Amino acid sequence: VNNIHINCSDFVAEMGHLLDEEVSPERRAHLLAHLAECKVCSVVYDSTRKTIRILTDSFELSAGEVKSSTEGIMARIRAMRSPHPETT
Amino acid sequence: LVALLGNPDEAKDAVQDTFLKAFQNLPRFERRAKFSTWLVSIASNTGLQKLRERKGFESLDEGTGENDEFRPRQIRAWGDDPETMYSKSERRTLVEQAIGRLPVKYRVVLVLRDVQQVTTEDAAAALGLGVPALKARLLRGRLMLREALAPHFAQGAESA
Repeated sequence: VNNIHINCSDFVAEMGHLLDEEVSPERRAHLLAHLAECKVCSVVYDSTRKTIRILTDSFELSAGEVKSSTEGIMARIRAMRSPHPETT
Repeated sequence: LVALLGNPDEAKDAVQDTFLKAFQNLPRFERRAKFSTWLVSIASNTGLQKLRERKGFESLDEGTGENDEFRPRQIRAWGDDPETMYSKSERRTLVEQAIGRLPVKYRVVLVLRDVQQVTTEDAAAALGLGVPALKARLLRGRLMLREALAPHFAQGAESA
């Protein structure tokens, strides 16, 4: 019988595996069992997932930003090429 | 790069520099390497170079150890949709401010993994770190960012 007790320090140290879904089904079950009985770890886990979601979403480039960054790159490439007139 | 440098104009320059460096060095790109890893390493180096040019640049390696035990301080629950508390631009400002206050070594890893969605292996390769070290930094960075955002997103927080 697996008698594995996970305390809060263990949970926080291993939370990254759960967040990135890089954990064996067995370990995942142990971590989730700790979550079910620990209010603080449950809040920390849930709010960390939401933190990642907010971070990822906040920096998604809009179509306009992609366009303006592409235009900037093209302008710099043109500026680099301008001292060398094109030969025909 | 905006998240890394904390300044949209500087980041715009850095993105353009990254693509230019990649464009100029394309002949040197080795087919053995993954193109995304190569591009990310140029972007990180360009961003880090700009950070170094600033006064008081912090090293990527110094500072608190990510393996020390982390004790969460903000333990109020967050609502189901904390995003609805602010407009997208307000959220972005809050995140930019919070991430800008993190030590650089955590900021870089958060940006690569959670903003650029680079794989753990590619991010570790780009920064010259082992995968376990990268994962430890990523978790610490995420926890630190959570602490910084909690006063704005926990239930009962005042939205703008």
